[in-house]
Amino acid sequence: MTSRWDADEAVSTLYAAHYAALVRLAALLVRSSGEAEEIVQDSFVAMHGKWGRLREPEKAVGYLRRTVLNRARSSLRRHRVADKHSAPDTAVSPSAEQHALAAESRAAVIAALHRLPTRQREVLVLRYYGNLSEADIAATLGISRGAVKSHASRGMTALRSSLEDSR
Amino acid sequence: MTPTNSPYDSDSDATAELLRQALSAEAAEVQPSRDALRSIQQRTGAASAPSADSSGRARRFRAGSTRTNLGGRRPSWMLGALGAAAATAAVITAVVVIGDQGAGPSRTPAAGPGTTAGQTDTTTEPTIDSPTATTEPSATNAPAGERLTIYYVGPTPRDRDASPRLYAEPHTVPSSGDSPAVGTVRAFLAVHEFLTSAPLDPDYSSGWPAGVSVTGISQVGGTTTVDLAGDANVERSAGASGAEDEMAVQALVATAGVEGPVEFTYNDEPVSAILGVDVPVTVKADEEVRALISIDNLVEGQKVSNPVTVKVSGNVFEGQINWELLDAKGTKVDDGLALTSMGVWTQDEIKLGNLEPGTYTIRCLEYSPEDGSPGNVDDKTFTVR
Repeated sequence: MTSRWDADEAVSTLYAAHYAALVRLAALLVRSSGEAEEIVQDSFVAMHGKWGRLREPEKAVGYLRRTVLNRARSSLRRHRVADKHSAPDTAVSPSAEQHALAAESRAAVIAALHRLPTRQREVLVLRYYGNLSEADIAATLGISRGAVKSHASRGMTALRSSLEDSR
Repeated sequence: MTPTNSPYDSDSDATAELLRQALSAEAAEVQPSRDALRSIQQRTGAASAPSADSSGRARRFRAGSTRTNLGGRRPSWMLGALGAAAATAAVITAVVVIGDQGAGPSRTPAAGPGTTAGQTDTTTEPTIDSPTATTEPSATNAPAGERLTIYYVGPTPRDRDASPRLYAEPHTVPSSGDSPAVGTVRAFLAVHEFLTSAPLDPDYSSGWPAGVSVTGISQVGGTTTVDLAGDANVERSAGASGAEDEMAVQALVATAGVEGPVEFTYNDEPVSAILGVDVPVTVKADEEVRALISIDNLVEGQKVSNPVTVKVSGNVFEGQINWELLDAKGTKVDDGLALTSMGVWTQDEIKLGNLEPGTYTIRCLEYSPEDGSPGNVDDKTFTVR
């Protein structure tokens, strides 16, 4: 599919279709919705600048996703340096309406996820939240499909044992 | 190469499922702001959200393909341009889509294949041509509008133990941008039109109560959520729906062009039933919902030029469709048979030739093989210039 959008149209159309999803994706990685919004807005601005080379919606979505992932990673790195002493798992508070047990196990899963190495976490979020294919994850992270497989497999193994330990 | 160890092959795995649920619950708590587009646009230097009229460029449309696919699948614009994998989730708000159109997408009187301003598409209907002299505004500056296919609940066959079915009608609404809308934006425009505009054909209806409007359509994974608002009682108890209600819900999801399960919210609350139909709603196959007889290349009230050819699709007993041409007084001036098929839909042409200027009605119907009573029917009134 070729597109004849100009950069402004690309922004407004892709915004409608993808903004919210990208914010949620970023929020899962950086654990702050304010920060996630900033990351995604920055990414749209960057995409606008690159539209002359992207030209196609599919490429632009791929670019947005890659940019969001990269910026989320930098943001985490910055925060890790800045708040070395604060536990990274306290940012998200479980919803009050949730049953305590469900909230606890959900918090445990999310906490375990955030103890994983960055790549493993990214692969798992793209896979299990984004429902992306192995090929799309590879393209998003700029790694091989084999690497996607092994990050996913190691990540799941670590997650499983971490959850078993906490029981 | 150890596929058994790959999480891609162990989606039923309990940890994977736990992770999936936790991520989905966690993501659901994030409420992305609704006005971020403006701050992005301020930073990119766009004057404002693109307006439908801000550009004089001709718009290019690739409409018309909905009718040529007679094999059975409904058009799926839903994921068309962006791809299924890319559309991991999409949320639109009414503000984004219709904010620059004043009152929002409003019904375009006499919209249809023949009256769309500035359209370049006449792909499927070469024999009934677009009006050239009377209704087409001067070429380049006319906003073309979005061409949408709206599905309505059509006439219930009389005297037969049969359900109402869905009939497609082309509608044109003001454009939301210079390119055809795609994905959930397109779905939103179509459902908005479906709920707020009357069908052109008086035999059709949406089947929905007045005062219900769509406020958003979003997609996460394969599930689509349609947000509705209004003061009508649309929930009712599950299982209490009649065939009409069932078809009204199917008309909405067909108009949205979605394929997977469809969740509904009403006035911001998730509902377990809509018009008495259990939620999530499963999109039914053509075999269960598509009109068994439909006139494909005419909309109600269309102006046509000679020679006149009518295209009719059918999936009826022995494929046989009877047609009659009535004049303005209701007197039959011609009749004949069109041959379609049974089990699948195929299209036949009814060549009416050169007709005297005036208004006519073409009616296509089947007669019951058992008792000869009229069954499925579609008719259209048109005017020959």
